[in-house]
Amino acid sequence: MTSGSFERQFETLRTAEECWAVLTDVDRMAGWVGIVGQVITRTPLVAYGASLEDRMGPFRLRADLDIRVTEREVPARIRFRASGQDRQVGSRLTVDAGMQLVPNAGRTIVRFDGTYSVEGRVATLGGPMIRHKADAILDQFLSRAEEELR
Amino acid sequence: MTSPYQSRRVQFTLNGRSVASVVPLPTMLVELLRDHLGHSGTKVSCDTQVCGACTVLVDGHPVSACTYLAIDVDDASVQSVEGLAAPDGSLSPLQQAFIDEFALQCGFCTPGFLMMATALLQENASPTRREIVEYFEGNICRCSGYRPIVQAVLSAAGHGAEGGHGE
Amino acid sequence: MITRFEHQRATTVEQALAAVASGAVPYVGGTELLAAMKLGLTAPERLVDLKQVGELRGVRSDDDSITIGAATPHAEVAASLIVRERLPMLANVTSVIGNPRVRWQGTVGGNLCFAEPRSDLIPALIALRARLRLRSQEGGRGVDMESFVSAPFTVDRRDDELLVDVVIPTGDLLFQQYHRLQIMERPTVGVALVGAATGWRLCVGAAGYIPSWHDAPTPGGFDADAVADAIEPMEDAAGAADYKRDLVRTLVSRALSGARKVDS
Repeated sequence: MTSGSFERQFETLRTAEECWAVLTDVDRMAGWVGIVGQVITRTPLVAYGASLEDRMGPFRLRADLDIRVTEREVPARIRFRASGQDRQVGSRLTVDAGMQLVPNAGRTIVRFDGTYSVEGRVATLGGPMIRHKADAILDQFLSRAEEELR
Repeated sequence: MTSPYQSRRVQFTLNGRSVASVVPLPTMLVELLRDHLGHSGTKVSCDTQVCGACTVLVDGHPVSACTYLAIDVDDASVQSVEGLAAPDGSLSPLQQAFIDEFALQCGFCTPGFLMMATALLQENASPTRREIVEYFEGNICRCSGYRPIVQAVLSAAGHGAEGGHGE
Repeated sequence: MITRFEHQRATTVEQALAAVASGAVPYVGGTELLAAMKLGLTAPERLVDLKQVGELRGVRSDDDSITIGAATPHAEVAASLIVRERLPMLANVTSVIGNPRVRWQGTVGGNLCFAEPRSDLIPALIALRARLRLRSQEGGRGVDMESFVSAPFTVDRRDDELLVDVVIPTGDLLFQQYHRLQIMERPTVGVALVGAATGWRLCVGAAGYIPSWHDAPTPGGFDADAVADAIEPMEDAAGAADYKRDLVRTLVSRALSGARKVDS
């Protein structure tokens, strides 16, 4: 098994409400990260589905994620759990993550934190590669989020 | 029930005798030997090429039979552990040395070590202790502590035993 | 479970090129491809075996270079008298890759094209300034070894191309050494240092996601600390980042002290 955790934040001049609107617009956010294919909203702010597709040399990832919102406080916090399986190999992927919007003297601090784990053969072979990829995906997401909320 | 796989005939020399079999394409060499040809001396242990228990010689060179397509030995010469003893069953000097030096306990890794030693002695009839240890880098034994195995190969080399009685 | 595939065998480069142009995945020893297929990590629909393409195998030389066919097993390179005489570092590297089974099943081309981060051969060939020659039905092109690998398992070879051979310049070599630490099945750190009249190159492999290399006019132009700090080590069972950086520092220092004895 490979796992990791992350904690990132940035500041924006936008209000918490404006941030909330952008950062819960899943169709918009799906386009920020290359690995995410389709996102389906099953029940807004409650349940979603997402497909992941990636490639590293000859190795392909094709996973379907089930996303459940576990905590929600509009427009301040949201936490979710995403879990799914790679279609080819059956390796399981789980993400527990959350976002907090903290007003701070006319600005808003946008804070993300969470843990992820990958179980199965993919993890056995490429633990550090997976963590490296995860970091790259987080970097991609965050820099886009910061840009969109400028 | 029909197999989803294509099959192909493979014909080769196994321990000096011509054999043939029809196998589904994804069949690995170890499965061909064990399940299709009844030669169960070659073992599957790690199934990922790192333990050496599945070692056989293809055209004189050691390969991991667990990760070698059976169809790729077509027209080749394959040696497995069954080929080391003489037709009358008498053990080769290398096999006898393993017994004399207590170089096996459970015996599961032994065919792999014997085939690696056979390949080594074909290439280098008088290896040093260090050369033997280095040659066995990809073979794992959980029982013996390795020293008796190395001693067995030294002893067999000393008696001029380059390989088995078989082809 | 391996999924269904078709299989063909090529005996000439033309046949092999036609096969890959039509989507077949090429292999020789299969030590990585078959392993990945067994684990279900890759599922090619068709394979083309290159073991019988004689043109892709063997070691050739001329006055100032040695050319190694992509389908040449590591053990054959290690045993080659030409390689032992003019590229002793390469003979050494190919004699310690993996274990004897890997050295007979596995090939130079397979190692380069699979681009496992923990490769001994890739940093050695980067340091030797090797040039790779690829071919497709459309024609051929060359790629410098240092440009071939862009990410783990990711190389500059299109699916319809074959790596044909590797050309290593030998004209003005002054010094060549490879230092390695390996505790499990694959190397933890490998350091290759090659000095030529035209300049020195140091390459670190296995520790990071891709190899890192440095050029300097003399060995004195390399700094072991700087080389170690430039690495982004993979953290795994073989070691944490700081530990691997220390290993890099140590092996680079050893290589450089070996070079100082020569280049004085």
